[in-house]
Amino acid sequence: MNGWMGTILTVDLTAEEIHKERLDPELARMFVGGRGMAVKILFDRMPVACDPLGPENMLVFVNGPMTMSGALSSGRYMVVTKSPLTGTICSSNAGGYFPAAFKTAGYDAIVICGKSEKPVYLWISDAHVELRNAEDLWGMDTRKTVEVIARATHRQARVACIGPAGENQVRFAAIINDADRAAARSGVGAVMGSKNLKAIAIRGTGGVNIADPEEMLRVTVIADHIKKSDLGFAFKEFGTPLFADVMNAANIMPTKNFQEGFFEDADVINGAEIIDRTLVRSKSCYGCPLACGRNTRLPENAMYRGRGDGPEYETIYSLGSNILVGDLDALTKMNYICNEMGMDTMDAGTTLATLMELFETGRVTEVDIGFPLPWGDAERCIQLLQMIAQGQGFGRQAGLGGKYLADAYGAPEVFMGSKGQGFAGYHPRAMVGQGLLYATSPEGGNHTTGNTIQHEINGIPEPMDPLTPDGKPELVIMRQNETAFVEACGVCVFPYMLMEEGIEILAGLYSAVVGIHHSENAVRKIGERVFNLERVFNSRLGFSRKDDTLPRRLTEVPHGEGIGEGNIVPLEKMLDRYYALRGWGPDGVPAPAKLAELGLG
Amino acid sequence: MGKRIIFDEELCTYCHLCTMFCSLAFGEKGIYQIRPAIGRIRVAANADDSRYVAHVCLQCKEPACADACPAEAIQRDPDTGLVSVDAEACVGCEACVEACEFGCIFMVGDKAVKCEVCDDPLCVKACAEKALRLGDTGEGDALEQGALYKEVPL
Amino acid sequence: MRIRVTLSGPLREYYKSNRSAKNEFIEMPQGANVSDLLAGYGIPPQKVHLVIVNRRKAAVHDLLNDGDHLWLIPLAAGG
Repeated sequence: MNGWMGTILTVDLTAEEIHKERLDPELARMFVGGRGMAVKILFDRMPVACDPLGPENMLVFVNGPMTMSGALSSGRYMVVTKSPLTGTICSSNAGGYFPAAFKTAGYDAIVICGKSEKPVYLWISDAHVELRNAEDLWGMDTRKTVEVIARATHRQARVACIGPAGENQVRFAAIINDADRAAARSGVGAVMGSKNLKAIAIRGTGGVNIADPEEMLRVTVIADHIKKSDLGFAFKEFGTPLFADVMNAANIMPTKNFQEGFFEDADVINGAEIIDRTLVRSKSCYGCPLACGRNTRLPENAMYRGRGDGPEYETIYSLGSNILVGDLDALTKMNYICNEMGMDTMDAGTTLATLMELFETGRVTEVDIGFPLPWGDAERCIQLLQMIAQGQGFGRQAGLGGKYLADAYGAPEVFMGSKGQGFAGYHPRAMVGQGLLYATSPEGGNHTTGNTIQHEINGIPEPMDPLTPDGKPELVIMRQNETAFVEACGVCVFPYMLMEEGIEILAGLYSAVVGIHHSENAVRKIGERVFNLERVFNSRLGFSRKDDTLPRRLTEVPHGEGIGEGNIVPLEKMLDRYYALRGWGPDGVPAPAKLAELGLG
Repeated sequence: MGKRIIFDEELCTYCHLCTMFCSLAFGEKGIYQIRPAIGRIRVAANADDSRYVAHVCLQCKEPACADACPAEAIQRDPDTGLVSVDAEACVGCEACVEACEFGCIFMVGDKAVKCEVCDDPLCVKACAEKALRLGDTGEGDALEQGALYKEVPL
Repeated sequence: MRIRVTLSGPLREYYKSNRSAKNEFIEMPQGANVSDLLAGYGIPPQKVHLVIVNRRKAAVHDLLNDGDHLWLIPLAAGG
């Protein structure tokens, strides 16, 4: 088989059984791989109404036919499951080096079912698969876990694991691979912890067949072209933190729990500051020419110690501007803590922001938390993050997330998220298309399911006003469909979703790998199919228009000084058009005709 | 004058594209695969992740691998300086792997393989940072490159 | 006229004072516009994606006033 490895591995943790099955070619044809394949597997094999933290939930690790194919940025994998944070289907994406081992070991997907009686880890070395006792590893941070497991298995083993946060079922716990990469969002780490699965360690020596190697050699030419461009240069030099300047200038950098879109101290937590203060070197995921990774270390004169990767832009927003922390050292330390403990930096941040606002308004007190939590108090944030990860004191409650806290303390309007997941680093009042994206994403405040940045901010292929709703339903639909396909392929969104003709290039490379011609429109159709299946999954659980929401702060409170002053997100108007264009009813549920058209009837 | 692959540590970002594309040139007949496990150039990181080094044969003047081989399957061409493995003669004893202090010769199945400098090396093409280039065996400082390999082993 | 200039990302290579500056002040003659300032710095206009003057989006032909804060932004990418 070209592209795919042809095998799905199922591990039943309750029965301690391991099972391999041949990949159904029809599944591959319709849903490709990655997010698409995994959602279909879950939909077919699992009761959608199950408890996300119960044994009936399934946790799917999945790569795609283009993972390790030599295509641009071909080293990603995804974790797909039912989220304990949102109650919806969710998928979380990560890079690093684990995806390379996963794919070359010979598996397209690993489906984890049930629950182990005792902590275990899964060790895979090509065809060899075994469950091993992990009682000694329980409680260990993610960096130490990788070291210990590599010593116990193989020098070349790559490891994806949870830290104490996942073990304690923090609702925004992450799965960390290669110590510094994160499948972070939607609480996938909590699901892994609820199954008593500490880690998956993999070593792979297999190969990925490619139908058209001549075409794949063209990839080096495309990569060359990207590296010579301004964007290519900026990616390596600054990484995603470059965004801090762009977003701040455009009044889009969420500040003080989305009260503002501009942060005075952004210039001390941006990409330039990282270069000057903490950057060791730029780093690439396996198979990627961009080198946007930030390999960093806190300097000698810093108040804190540590090294690792990051912060990325999203963390600069969530643990920086949005909680008024204008201190790169503290922000970096919080980033490292989240990686080591295994937590999503974004929802760690939105939880802290929610708490700070609740504290400021007297809804939550020093007595509740154990100490005061004023805006910008990094020391207290560091303390609280540790408590959350370990499930200690107030950390137990805080680990349930910002929406839980806002509801519990009588101020539900304070939580800046949708469907229970906190937003990403783009303030929708000055980027309204992104607002529509947040409201209609399957797992809530997620931005990666269709980031509108290429069009609304970079103006590629042509300038688009971020402040108006014109053309935004069309844009969001297109971006969501395209991203769903990219994530089904097992490659990184960056080259394909941020550069001109990215989807055209992707369709060509997909065709070259699997040996079947696919046009741009054909791949968008596959993406549309995946997105609709996610919508069906959610609607079976009762999700509909009433859940496609944004907080009143975004739809009713006018934006502050700067670009977009006075602007709000006209969500309802955009939703009407969005649903109509998607072929969904006015309640946001896919119509039978649309499902039949997509082969989901 | 012979050729070898010259590596610049400063530029490496640990992307492994060199390994991936090298492997494309060495698949079984008629099969086109990306298979890093058969690559003749491989990248290592040090313990604290601050250094990345691509290991590729230096085409030593006095190759320890050739010396150690009991089947005389490894020879150095006196004119070109190229050190190559005769796959037919190789018995899979792994003595060469033991002997090479630079970690640049590998077992694939039961045969030893190493970089034998392609005419148009895919690793050089694939490296987006231009950390690899095709140079003459006498060029650059092979000893310096070798020292890196010992400091940051695979 | 005294103008405060912030150069973001790769554009900071063009700072006259030092590339680690957060911003710097320069003198421009009355009647100068953004384009004149770019020329003075030797910044090719195509490298500038966004021009912000006093927190508002501006165009390269806009005139500058004494005390203005000019902020130049290159392309964006993130996650």
